[in-house]
Amino acid sequence: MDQRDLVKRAQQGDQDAFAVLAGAAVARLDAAARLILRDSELARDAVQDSMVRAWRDLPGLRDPDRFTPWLHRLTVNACLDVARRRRRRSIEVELTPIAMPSVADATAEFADRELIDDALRQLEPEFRAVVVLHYFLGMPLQDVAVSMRIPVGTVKSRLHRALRTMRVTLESADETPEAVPGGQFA
Amino acid sequence: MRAARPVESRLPEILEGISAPRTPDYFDDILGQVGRTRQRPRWTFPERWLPMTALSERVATAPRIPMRMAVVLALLLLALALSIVLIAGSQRPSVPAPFGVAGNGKVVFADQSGAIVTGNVSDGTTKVIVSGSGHSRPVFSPDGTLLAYLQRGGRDIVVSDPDGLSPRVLNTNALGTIGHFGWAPDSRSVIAVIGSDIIAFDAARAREPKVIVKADGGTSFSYLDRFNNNLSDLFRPPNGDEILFVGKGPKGMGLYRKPLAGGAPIAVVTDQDLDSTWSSNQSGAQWSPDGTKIVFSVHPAATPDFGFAYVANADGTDLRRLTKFDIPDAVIDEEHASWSPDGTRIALARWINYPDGNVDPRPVVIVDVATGHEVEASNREVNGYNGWSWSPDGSLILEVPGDGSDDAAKVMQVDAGTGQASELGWTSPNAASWQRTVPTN
Repeated sequence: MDQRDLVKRAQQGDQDAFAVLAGAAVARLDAAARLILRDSELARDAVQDSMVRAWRDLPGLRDPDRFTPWLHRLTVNACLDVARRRRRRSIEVELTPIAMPSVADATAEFADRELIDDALRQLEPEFRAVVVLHYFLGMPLQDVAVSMRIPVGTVKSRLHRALRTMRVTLESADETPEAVPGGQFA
Repeated sequence: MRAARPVESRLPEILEGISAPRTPDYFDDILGQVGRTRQRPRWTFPERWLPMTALSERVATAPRIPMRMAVVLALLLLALALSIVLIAGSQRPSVPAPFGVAGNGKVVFADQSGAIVTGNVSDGTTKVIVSGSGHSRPVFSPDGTLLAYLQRGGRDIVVSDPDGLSPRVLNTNALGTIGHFGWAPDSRSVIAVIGSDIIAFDAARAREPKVIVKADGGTSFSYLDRFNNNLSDLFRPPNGDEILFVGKGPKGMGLYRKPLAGGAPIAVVTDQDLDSTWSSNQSGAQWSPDGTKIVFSVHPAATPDFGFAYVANADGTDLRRLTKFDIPDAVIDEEHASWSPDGTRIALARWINYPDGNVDPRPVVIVDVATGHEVEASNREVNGYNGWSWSPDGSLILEVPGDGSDDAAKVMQVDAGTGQASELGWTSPNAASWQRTVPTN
């Protein structure tokens, strides 16, 4: 059964069909939410909220083929809602640990990953959301604009600013002597 | 040293590495919550309950009456109508035409707290006319006599006097997500796009909301420009009898005109004319003030995220790129093109994307349509725009620079002749709307 049929069945109240759809999407949505929120617990709240909302509002989805971008939009909006609520208290909490590198992955690429992780953390959630939707979930900029209900120009602007932050982070790391164990500089 | 590839080309794999996608351990909890949650019935969604009167209206059959009596009756009615028009015309203040050059009235915008504010560009003074949060997208009617805006986070459409007095909510149930929002050219209806339907809400609340264009459900298309505050741009001047949309039609994917009276869409420019990537969310297309031309952005197939601005006649002839701006090896992106009220100039946003990954977002560019001469508005650092609008007299542009800019959310005025930009001291997350008045000279 293809996704369109599953969506149609879920729209008619079939929870098993919804479980299949949700199961196929949840790993990526959880990862996207962790990237946007930089916190596993908050990501869990956002994904749960978006999934329950997706089930509740699914009968209103007019085009079953738009299920995936629609679900992405619900998740991003849930993330931004969580971030807005959290921002009032301005708490930086546990950061998702970076996956341990394989042997082949151990050098420059892993260092870049850490730096990008740092750069992402410096961005506002609205900026991270644009990066995640475009570069992680692979959405065209036009779809990002629709999902976030912002002009495509704003999407590009946010992306421009986010990429600039990352480039500056990487370039400044290039100019800084590399740290060696023991706290000395090489 | 870092890897030589630019950061954006490595980002997907880096983000995969950072996030390490795996099925979360709370997935069963989600399914449990779903099992306890009831789905909303279909009829509770706005698209399901809005009256589809446009589709079902029928002309009532009149009883047969003698011809002579009909002629007499018609003459009497004509005389009555003429006298009403003459009396009403002598009592109402004159209003500007819905298209073209007009006088500059007040400016209205939603401030960052969600209140509606009017401002006077000449002296910089402002006045909160609707206080409280949750208001957005205020827009004056084309004749300048009414104001429409959204309240309760976009769930209600409100119409008031231009000073915010006598507000009235036009909808009876909370609305869903509104795309386009603005006025019909006659200033009598507020137009909102909900889903893919264009719905007219009678500003006087004398009639039920009416679907004036309904998506057929089988074809995906969008009305232009989804994020433009001023939906009047959607209707073809001077009669407002056609709209523009991007979609798949008889000539393929592209830009089409749709007659509001019905009938098949008319192709303007499609992928048969340009090697291009059309999206259901184009960044803008707009009729010229006299309705003879269209400016639009379309994305070349080779660079689907970046668009060129083109101008064409309404029938698609005389198609040409608006500017000649080019930098070897760089990708030029020109979007959100907007005609000046006199139809001689077009303002657009431009990004220059260099091969090394650097992006240079330029200040608003004003292009002379006939000569191609350009004026770039100031040398300020900007980062795209959250919106802009021409003054009704065409002398100024109000702009709101985008997020991340040094001038983010500041409402700026730009002299359209010199490009000189100045701050008004106002802040708004979105574009401002300018009231059209009768020109004083």
